[in-house]
Amino acid sequence: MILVDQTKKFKTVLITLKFKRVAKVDEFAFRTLLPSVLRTKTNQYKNRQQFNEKLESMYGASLTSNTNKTGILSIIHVQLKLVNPSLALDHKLFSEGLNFLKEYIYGHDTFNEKDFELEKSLLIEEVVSKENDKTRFALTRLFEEMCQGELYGARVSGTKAQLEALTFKQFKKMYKDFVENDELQIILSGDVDKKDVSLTQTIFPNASFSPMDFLDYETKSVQAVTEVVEHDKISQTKLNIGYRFPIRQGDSKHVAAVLFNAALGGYVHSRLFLNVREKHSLCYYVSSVYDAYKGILFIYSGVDAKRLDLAKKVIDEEVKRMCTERISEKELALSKQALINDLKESEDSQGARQNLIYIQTLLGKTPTLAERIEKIEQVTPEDLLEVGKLLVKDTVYLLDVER
Amino acid sequence: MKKVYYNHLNESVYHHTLQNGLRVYMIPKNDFHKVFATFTTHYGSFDQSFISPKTGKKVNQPEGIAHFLEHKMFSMPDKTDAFETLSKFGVNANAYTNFDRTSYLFSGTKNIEGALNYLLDFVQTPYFTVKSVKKEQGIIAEELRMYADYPNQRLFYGLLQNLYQKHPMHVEIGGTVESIHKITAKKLYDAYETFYHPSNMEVVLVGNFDPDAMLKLIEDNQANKGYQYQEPIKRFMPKEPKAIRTAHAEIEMPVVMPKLALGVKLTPASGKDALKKDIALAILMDMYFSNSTKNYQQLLNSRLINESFEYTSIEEEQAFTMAFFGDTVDPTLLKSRLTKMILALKRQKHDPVVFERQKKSTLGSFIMSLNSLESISMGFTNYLANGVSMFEVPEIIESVTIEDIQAIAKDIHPKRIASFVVMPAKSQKASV
Repeated sequence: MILVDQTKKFKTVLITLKFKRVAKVDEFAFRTLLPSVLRTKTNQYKNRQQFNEKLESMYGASLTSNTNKTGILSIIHVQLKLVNPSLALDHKLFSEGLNFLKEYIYGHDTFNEKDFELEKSLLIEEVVSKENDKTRFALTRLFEEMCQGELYGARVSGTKAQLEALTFKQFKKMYKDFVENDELQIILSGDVDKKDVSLTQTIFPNASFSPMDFLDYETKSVQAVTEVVEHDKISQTKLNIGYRFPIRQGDSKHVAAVLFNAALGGYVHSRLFLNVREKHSLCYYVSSVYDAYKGILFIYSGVDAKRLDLAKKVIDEEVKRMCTERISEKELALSKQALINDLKESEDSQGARQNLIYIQTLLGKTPTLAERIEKIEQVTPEDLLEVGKLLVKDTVYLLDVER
Repeated sequence: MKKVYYNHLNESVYHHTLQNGLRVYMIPKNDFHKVFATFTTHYGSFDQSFISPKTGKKVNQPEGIAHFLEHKMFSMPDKTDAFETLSKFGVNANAYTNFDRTSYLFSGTKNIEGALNYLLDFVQTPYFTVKSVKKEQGIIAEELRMYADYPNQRLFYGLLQNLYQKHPMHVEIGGTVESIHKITAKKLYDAYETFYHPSNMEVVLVGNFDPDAMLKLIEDNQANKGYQYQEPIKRFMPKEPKAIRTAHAEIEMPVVMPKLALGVKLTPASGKDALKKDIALAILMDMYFSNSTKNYQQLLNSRLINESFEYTSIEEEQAFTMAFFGDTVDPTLLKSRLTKMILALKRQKHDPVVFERQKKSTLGSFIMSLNSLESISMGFTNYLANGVSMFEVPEIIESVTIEDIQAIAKDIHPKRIASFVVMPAKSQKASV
């Protein structure tokens, strides 16, 4: 089965391949590295230059690939973005694109060890340099501390040590296993017709689609809040707080949990933004995020180092208020409105539509936009208090300035 | 109201200039849910020095004031916050300040009329007090400190500081913690009264709406605000010498690998010519530095660059720059290799096949950028600064010739190349 989002709304056609399997920590390094090694050469394109020339000649088609974790799944996404062939006045473009993708994934009778080593060290550099982004680094550290021993705590792109340990021989063996055992799922989006779909099926006869519950149920009971403080040469303290919030996508309380997060810190009308940033000028950014695949919520913020204690206190107070005091209908309506707006806006993004179709089909639930909006409208202030009772503070991670 | 239809891209633009001088551009796209609205003033970090239309006297202002003003526009006289009010309409609001403009914008799927009315009203309601300015200084200082932690931001401005001696391009858009403390309510009013006159502003709407109804709404909104005619604003840009300020500088930061920025100061043009030159430079760089080139492959194989390597053309008023950025284990060696490659362009005979391929790729990338309302809206405003309608850009790309590429390559001067390096702070040396 090929998933299709037929629309004339966009100026591009997206061909997305998703290779999925259940995530295992010892395969992260391989799966992150694979897409770049595949680009170095194929049977048909003898080196990186020829490979990239081909992309340029397809009107600057862009090939993006990345590996991520969705719930318990490890998914390698490969996406080719083409100018809508009718705008480029080049009708062969779609089949050219499909064949190019096929060559990219499967055209590898051999690999070159030098290419492998080069890509490996490039990836190690990338992994190490990600630590330059302190906001992101501090979040990664929060998850590592909070979810020690859980899949969620592992660095999805693999660690430096895991990458260094990966040998060429192992790589080749794992590639073979990838080709044989990953499920290939394909999504087409844009101005495509039936002929395009059947051509896709012909070129990728192995494409299929099996729904599954991919949610991550791993959790722990929190005895006491863990607090971790580390220091770095930075000028602004990163204060991150993780909570267990055991409600997942599809649970009856899921929509209420989404609205709880929206009212707390998901938007600029949210309490954290208004009270911590605007009223007290304590920080430049402060937001909360709810991960419904895992059942956790986290707050991340960049705080004026001199007023860290006050920031902590104000954030705790805001969270407590959300959990113990009934929110007004008026305030809740703001979050509902913002959420509904987001749903509609995502219909205007080709990528977001693809993701939605994919996740919905995977879970075997495909509610319409109207049905999703109705569910949001039904949530009451009491529902928010109910879900608030389930929120448990787990870990505070501080990346502090050197004091 | 004038309508122009661009057949090849299947896009229409409606344009009208109101009596008070406000320009309105509308691009209806009715298969979308969303509307993306921007209200832009041609006032940015470059505009530090100008003649006040009120007093006729020259005014010099502190660095970062345009960005500061943007922040302050959201405080309303009734103590409400415009950002919050807009979010109550159920739309997402934002604002940004560039070198040459400040934009206030929102996108949403309902209450568009109300939100648009409010957008016009709040941007046309200045309200600055001593107390609120002081409070904002705290917020912006924090924002600036955050940017100071971004190595790539330091790298970018470090390069521009080395290349440009007088041009305000070398100053960070947000100013410095020191300069923003010189900002006062009075200075904000001076800037506001000069640059937020409708004749210096434009509204751009993209998305699902009826152009006639929207134009009427904007006209009604503007009708009773009593704007008087204002002469075009006289601004002063310091004259930039051809020579660079300094060839090289370095700083230390907590990064894991050194970062190199390398730039070439080129001869700027203006208007449509500047845009054409900008596209030609982009094609030139693609021809010699994209990942399908020998240069790229050589640098990669000798482990001097990695995925972070990027290049760009920076085209602004009276400034035109070719720039390269990347993390590298050996900034000194990468600098000398890149410099050689750049200088080799001067006497290079350009391959027409490669040229055509890169032109095709540039065209494709441009068409792809028309995918989202946001990028149309931003792009449209951006190209207007060059006096060009965005949907004419494909023709301009088509018009670029190998001679245009050659002319730019010839403009490269060995004495006008500068570099800037961010080195890992001692305790942070990378082990890769």
